[in-house]
Amino acid sequence: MLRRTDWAEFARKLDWTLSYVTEREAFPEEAAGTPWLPSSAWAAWDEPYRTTYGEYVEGQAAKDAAVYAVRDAIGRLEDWKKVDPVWLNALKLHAATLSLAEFAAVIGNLRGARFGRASAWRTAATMGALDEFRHTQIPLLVLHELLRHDPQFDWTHRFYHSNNWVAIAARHLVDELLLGSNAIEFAIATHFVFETGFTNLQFIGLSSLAHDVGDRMFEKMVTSIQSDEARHAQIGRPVLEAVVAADPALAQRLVDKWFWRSWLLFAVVTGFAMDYLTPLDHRTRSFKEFVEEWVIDQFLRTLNAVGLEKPWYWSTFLESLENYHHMVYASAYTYRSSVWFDFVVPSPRERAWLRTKYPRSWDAYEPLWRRIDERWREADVDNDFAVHGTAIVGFCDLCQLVLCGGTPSRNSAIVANVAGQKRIFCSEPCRSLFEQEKERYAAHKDVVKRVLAGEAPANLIALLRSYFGLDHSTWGRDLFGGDYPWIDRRRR
Amino acid sequence: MIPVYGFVEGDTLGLVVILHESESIADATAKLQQAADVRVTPGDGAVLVHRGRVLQPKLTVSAAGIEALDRVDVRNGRGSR
Repeated sequence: MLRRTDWAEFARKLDWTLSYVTEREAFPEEAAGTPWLPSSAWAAWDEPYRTTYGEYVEGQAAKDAAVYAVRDAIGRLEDWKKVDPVWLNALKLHAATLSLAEFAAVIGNLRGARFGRASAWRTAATMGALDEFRHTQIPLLVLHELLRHDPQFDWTHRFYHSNNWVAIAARHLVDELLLGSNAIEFAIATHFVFETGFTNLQFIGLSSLAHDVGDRMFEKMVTSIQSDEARHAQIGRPVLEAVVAADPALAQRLVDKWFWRSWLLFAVVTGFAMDYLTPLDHRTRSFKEFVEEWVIDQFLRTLNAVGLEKPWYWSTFLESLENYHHMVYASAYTYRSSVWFDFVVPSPRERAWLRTKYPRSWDAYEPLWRRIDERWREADVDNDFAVHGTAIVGFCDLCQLVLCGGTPSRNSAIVANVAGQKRIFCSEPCRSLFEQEKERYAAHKDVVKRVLAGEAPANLIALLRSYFGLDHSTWGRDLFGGDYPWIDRRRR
Repeated sequence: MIPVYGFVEGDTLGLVVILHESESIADATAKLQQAADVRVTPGDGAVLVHRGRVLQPKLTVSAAGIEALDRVDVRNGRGSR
């Protein structure tokens, strides 16, 4: 029998000399990506894991067995019922936004498996595609148990098939990132920016909080997924290095674009979970501190190592790190019936903690939460809509998220005439990204434009029911019905 | 009817509010404050800002030059209830 060293490199880097078609025909630029370089430019491409298919199958089988074992031991309904109910809403947000996005990532990886320009890249991407199937199947399997307990968990599967406003925004990102990108843009955007820069936040940072909260099932699930992500994320850097060598301006533009787009998604998904939906006594660090470690420190060091600059909007990003998820959480709290998970009002102790973690920005949010306290104090018990917005919300023409850029004293939204229409953007980076690829984004209608065009109902309840796909059993509420000890509603 | 993007100082998001051509700026300001009322306590003496100009409260929306999908901002006055 051959030793591994005798065959592994040959199998992993199997390639052939084309004779019936040209290299450009076999790897057309539309699918393979820009810059189109001859195969000789990719000959040295490699990634550090160098996994063979046999090793992959053996390793994945062992990981799946470990997830099943944990599920059998602590993944039953009675186990989930012991988990803090506030935390379960972080789980609903994670499960809906990421589970089927992983399924879309199968397509992106398969594009790399076919059109990646180096054979070792194609081998790693083939395993990446198989990884992403697993990352879809695990949460669908594990969280299905919770459907018996809570119908909001149905959104683990349902979310991307709905016209919910968060789903419209997430699809706008995921369709381009995972389904529409050529192999080079996918590798830089997904493997380098998204998976190297940001999924560590969700899969390592949040899993450590899950451990502290006592949610061992979620911890095991995401740790298992992260071990795959760590491997296939390695595709990104060598692709980026090849692009930097050939066209550094393009490399910088792709990193700038996908860093901003990924940031907005993770600020909501991870920011909510870490700073609002993790019980205070189990919070080890703030969302900002996790970002400082995993994104600002590590990611910038990597950018520097490959010869790129930090994105041009860095000062806007830093301001956004202090504010954006606070802006969106307070907004979404007052439109909670438009989403599939429940919210809580941060307690005075939590607000004090947030002030210590966000000393430069938190004071601007204090009056909002005092106002919400005041509204609950005046509200009839059991009337969740008494403390709820009714006006139509504005959405950004690029990211499709609510207009929550900037700070409470100065919202950063920009109205501009672009591609023959008056449009609004939540921030300067979103405006700039739209301008750079007008033809890609111009035809997309945000929720407001769908309402104004008569394609979606203007009435809030009709919008929730017939367009966002929610009903009384699934739409978000205040988890405690506004009944908080510091609000003292019963004294009236 | 003129849909505009409205931003109330102290609020966390932009809202879409429908104004009418003949509506006064004072009424439009109050309408925007009402739309954000769940999060921001309406303040006295608030002003409406459009394209960098503070609008006179007695002007009408059309006389002030507000057009569909413009941005308007409610900025705080001195007092607040």
